[in-house]
Amino acid sequence: MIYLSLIAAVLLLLALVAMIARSFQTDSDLNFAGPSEEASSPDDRNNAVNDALNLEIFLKAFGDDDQRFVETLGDSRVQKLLAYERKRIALRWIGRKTAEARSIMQGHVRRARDAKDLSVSAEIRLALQYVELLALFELLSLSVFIFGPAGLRKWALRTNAILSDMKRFGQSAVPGAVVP
Amino acid sequence: MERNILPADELNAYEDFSSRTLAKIPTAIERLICIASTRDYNSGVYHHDGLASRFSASATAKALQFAHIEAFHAVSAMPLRELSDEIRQYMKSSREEPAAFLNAWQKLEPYRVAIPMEVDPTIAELFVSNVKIALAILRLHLLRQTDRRSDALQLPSLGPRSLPPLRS
Repeated sequence: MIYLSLIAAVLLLLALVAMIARSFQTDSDLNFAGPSEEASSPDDRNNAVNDALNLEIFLKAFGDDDQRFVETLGDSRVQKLLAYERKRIALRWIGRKTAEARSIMQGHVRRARDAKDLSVSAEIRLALQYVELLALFELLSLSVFIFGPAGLRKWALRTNAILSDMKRFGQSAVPGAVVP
Repeated sequence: MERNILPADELNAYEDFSSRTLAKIPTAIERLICIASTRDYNSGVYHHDGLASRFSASATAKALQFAHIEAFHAVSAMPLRELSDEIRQYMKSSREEPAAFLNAWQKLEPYRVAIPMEVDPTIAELFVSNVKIALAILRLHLLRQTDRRSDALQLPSLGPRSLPPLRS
């Protein structure tokens, strides 16, 4: 009985931490590019190149170079500022990617409503990818919130790959639908 | 970013601007500020009279916009060591007192106007965050320099010298 209570307490604690982590992911005043603008861009190839470049710049910030440089300065305030800022940016990125995944799925559901011939296997694949992605984002935000963004690099690449796949697949999975 | 996505006239305007103007500016942060200053704050449209006399106004605006995003990505991808060095050089070239410069940059955050409109919001945030940290590093260097100078100015005493207070 006592073990069950302990497990319940741990689960509640994890849920609480996840809620706090999510509260860090609210949009800031720097959201210049609206989602509609991004989606209506005519050059898909250029968008893909830009996405890759943005991810490269983003991940570069989470390498060891800056951390080592700041440690050589020997000032705890600057070290704390770096840790705080990196964690904040990482959580914001996770929040934006989660919103992007949700928007892809909502767009797909809208198109699927008008579709004449839906492929069940394709729909299941997309739904599983979506659930996997949301679970990964939750775990990632929890891990960044508790341990910091050190392990972000590997997981960011994985989640980004799933998201790109989902984006491509979500658009091509509804052949009979009228794409707006 | 790939330059070959630009149409021929925009590419020519971009190359002209890069070779005549940007090549003469020593640091990436100065290049970014220079390009951002060609953008109208109210409309977000880029203007450059010299370029517009050789190319069309539209090609000029697109070339400047492309150069702006390219320069912005270069600065955003910079490690903190390099970024703080670049801001230090820019601070020197501005001929302002370092303390006044840091006060203005930390309080007014004028570097926010250097962000192009069409960039990824996470990279825009990363840029602001990196500049904030670089400014904190420069502030730390300035404090340490001031401490060293005031230590050097103190008259030597006969008694044992006490240690300076620790900065945590």
